[in-house]
Amino acid sequence: MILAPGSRLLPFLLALAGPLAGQAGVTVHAGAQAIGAVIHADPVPGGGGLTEAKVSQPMLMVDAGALGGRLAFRGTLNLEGQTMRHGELLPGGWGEGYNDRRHPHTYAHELMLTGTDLLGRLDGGARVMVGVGKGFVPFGSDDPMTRPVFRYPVNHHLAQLLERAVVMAGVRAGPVALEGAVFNGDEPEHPGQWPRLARVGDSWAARLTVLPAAGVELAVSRASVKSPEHRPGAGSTAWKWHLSARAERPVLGGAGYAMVEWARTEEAWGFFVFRSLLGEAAWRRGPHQPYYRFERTDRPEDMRTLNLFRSVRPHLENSILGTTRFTLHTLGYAYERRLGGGSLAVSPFVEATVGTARAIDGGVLTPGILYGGTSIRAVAGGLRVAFGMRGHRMGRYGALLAPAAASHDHHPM
Amino acid sequence: MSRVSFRLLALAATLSACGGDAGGDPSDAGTLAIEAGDGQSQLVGTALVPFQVKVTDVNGAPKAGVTVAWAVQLGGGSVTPSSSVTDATGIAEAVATLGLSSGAQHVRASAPGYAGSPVTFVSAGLPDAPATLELGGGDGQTGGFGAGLPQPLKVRVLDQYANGVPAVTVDWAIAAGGGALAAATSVTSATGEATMNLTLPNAPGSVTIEATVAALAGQKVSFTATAAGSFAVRAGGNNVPERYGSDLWVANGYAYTGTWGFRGQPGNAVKIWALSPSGAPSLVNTLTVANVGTISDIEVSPDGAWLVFTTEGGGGAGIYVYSLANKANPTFLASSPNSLHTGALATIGGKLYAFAAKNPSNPALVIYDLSAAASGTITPVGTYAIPPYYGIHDTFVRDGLAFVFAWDEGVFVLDVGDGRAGGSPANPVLVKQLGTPQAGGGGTPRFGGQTHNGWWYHSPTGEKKYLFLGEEGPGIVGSASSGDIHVVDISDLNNATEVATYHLNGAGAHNFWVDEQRQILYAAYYNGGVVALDISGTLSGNLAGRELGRLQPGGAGNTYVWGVMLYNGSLYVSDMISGFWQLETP
Repeated sequence: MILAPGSRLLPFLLALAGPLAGQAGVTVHAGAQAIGAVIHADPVPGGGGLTEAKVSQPMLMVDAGALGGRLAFRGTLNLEGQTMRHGELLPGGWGEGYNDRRHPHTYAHELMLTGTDLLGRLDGGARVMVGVGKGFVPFGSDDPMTRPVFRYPVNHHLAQLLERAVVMAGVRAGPVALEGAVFNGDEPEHPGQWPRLARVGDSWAARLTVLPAAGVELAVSRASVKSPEHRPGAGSTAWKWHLSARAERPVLGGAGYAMVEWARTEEAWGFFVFRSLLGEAAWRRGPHQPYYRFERTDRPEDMRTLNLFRSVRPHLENSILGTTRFTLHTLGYAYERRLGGGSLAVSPFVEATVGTARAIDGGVLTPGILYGGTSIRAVAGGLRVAFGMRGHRMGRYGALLAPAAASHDHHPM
Repeated sequence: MSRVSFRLLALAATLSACGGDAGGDPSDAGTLAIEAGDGQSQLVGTALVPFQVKVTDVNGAPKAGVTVAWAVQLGGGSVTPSSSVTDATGIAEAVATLGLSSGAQHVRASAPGYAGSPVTFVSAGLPDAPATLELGGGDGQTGGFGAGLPQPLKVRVLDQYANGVPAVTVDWAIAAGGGALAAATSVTSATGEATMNLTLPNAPGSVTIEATVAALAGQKVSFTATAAGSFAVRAGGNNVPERYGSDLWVANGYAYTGTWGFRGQPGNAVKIWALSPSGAPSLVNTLTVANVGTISDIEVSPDGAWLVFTTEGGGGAGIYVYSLANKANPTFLASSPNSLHTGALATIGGKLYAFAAKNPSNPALVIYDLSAAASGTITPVGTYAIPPYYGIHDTFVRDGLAFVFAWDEGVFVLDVGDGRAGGSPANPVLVKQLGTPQAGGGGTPRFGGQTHNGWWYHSPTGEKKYLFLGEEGPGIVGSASSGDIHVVDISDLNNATEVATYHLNGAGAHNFWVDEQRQILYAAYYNGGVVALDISGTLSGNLAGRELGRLQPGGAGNTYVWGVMLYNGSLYVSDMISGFWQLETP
């Protein structure tokens, strides 16, 4: 059994891993992460600036493997429901579900059981994977929590599908991997909510990934998500496209990371179309890690409650109140220190965002009305602390992208 | 042909003859002159009394042996022979037969070299007896209510040769529709045309007029005219800049409009408008309600004593009753908490009830007894739950039936006092669910997509056949919308059938008001403004041809109409963006 040092601080995870520990070929990796941050965003709904101190992304994680790694379990417990009231996210996260704080992370962020290469040599050189559980749908790019920028991008719900009950399968042959899944379309509305199992199968997704060179991925995804915004299932279906290119390569004596993605979501038979273009890059040399993100993303505006951060849930109608296009530049710097023999990583960081929010396609809830202006400024500073495993590469299961998938420390940089 | 006109023709012919080219010097050969036969009138196609000319020498003595040429110059027909020779008395003659066209006909006689040559015989062909009655013009016109048609109705009476027959009496009658004719008869003119003026009715619709001639049994000409109109802004508009508008009610010289959402200020206000003698609104007060996000529906009780409105969003959401003892300054009487999307008032068994849509998250029709509101009590007495597929959006209560418009679930028809199923406000009983549920059953509702609102129409003749449904499709509030009006024949609730639809490109329906006496449906159409439809008679198919008027009161980009209501001949409009308007109706 291999036990990551960080897990020594998490006895309950050890207890969880215990039953497996005595079996040959069983591996358990565990870890934890949390980010304490002070965030100032200007404007926020209602106008003016807001400064908050939050503990964001408090997570406990476990990866377990058996049968020589063919059978794997990935679990992530997200405790934002405890550290942020109602599971809300941070001011200045202007994306759908974050600005209005209506799609919090659930406690059971990932609970995925996968089997990879189950056919052994029967499938020749190909590797077949199947998976079931709660987690990310094979669509889009990695979860923002595992990427360099602290601030959530606006496009989170255009570029990822998460916290669903998923039944998935995948196959890799040479440099090409194809994944497909069926899942429930409904988004969670509070931290303790589980997917509606009765809706499993009402939505599907597929992702094709090509690895043309070491550390380089090209991916295209397609998904049909039934009624994501109306949990009982009466909402319109979202048809989604996502294209991305991602690279992790040595650059200038350091470790380079870059990703560019384009996403498009169409709802109500094309009545609504939301688009996103995002590019980000980071470079790490020693403890230093500067990073940058550009994003231009459309998000729908929904009916707000008296608390303008929140929208009426569930929707009463199939209308939106407008579309806001966010164009944002985020520049940041992190300094990472490894302590305790490398098991504890402490990363103070600071980052700033500037940009604009413009109303497109008309509508009554414009940035001028909701925020009192169209210019955006935000700064954040804090400390990321990680023990042991520093987070998965969320959104990828089943080690189809080996050799990168064989590693358990996929956090970029 | 009348005598006067014939004389004019003869004079014209004489002038023509005088101006003709005689040829040569008259003093050398003599003179040619008409002797007899000029100025005859006969039925077209008949032979005339022979035309005669006389040739005399320079001394005035008859001159024989002179050849005279004859030719038809005007009007067809024939003349024979083409030439004749003067006899001993100096006379030459020819016989003319009139052509088949009525009117002047000219035959010329010429003897070159003689003074006066050529001469012209002018005759008149008279039309034959009436044979045909045909449309002359004026069919298919549209005019304003109570106005005269722009052009008169016109018919022509023709003989067997298609000549207009004058002095024929034409009888006129309205065969269908309203309005009035200027007279019951008119007489054809010299050209065989008869006209009649029509004043259109004061209500929209088609008028059919028939023209007949007694001598032409079995023949008639039918005209169709349409009474229509157009919207026009009378007053108001752009008068609630700090909030978005919502529902409205107008009664007893005052109007009350709600507000919605967030526009710098929350939608927690009721705007109170005094109406001038001409109906123009002026803001006199603003009533705000604490801790609510939207005034979702608003109505004045039938006796005018109370203002009742529902609210949603915030801890203060619920149903509110205010006294209208002072119409400009309502005073609070009672409230009951709930998040209510709409509320409709109805008096059943002598008690006033509110039928309210509770959303979300377990949608239900909640029925409140308002009879004790004056003493501060509102009592929920009944409820009817529906599946949670977006919930209830509006309710229409009439004759003891509540039509609950439930989005993806279609329409629930509840007996709340009708008697057919033993229902009451305290115990609503489902009579029928109309439409195929979408979210629950995965199908498509028969009556469009998302059912939002409706109006059970009672026609002036007492027919209760049609249910008008408003479909609310996807939209961007303030700029775009979708959804049609669906007309459902509910004569047999167990076999309700959609019979007609109205579609407006780029816009969607919202709330209705129906002028049942004039048979006009007014629909709020969000960014499409307001639409008026003629709903008289039998409705089927596409109702685009029944559109009477359409207007964006705030103009393009400044119009998103939530609701309409007719009051004292004006249509009052609550626009989410551009405020409260008074419109002239079509």
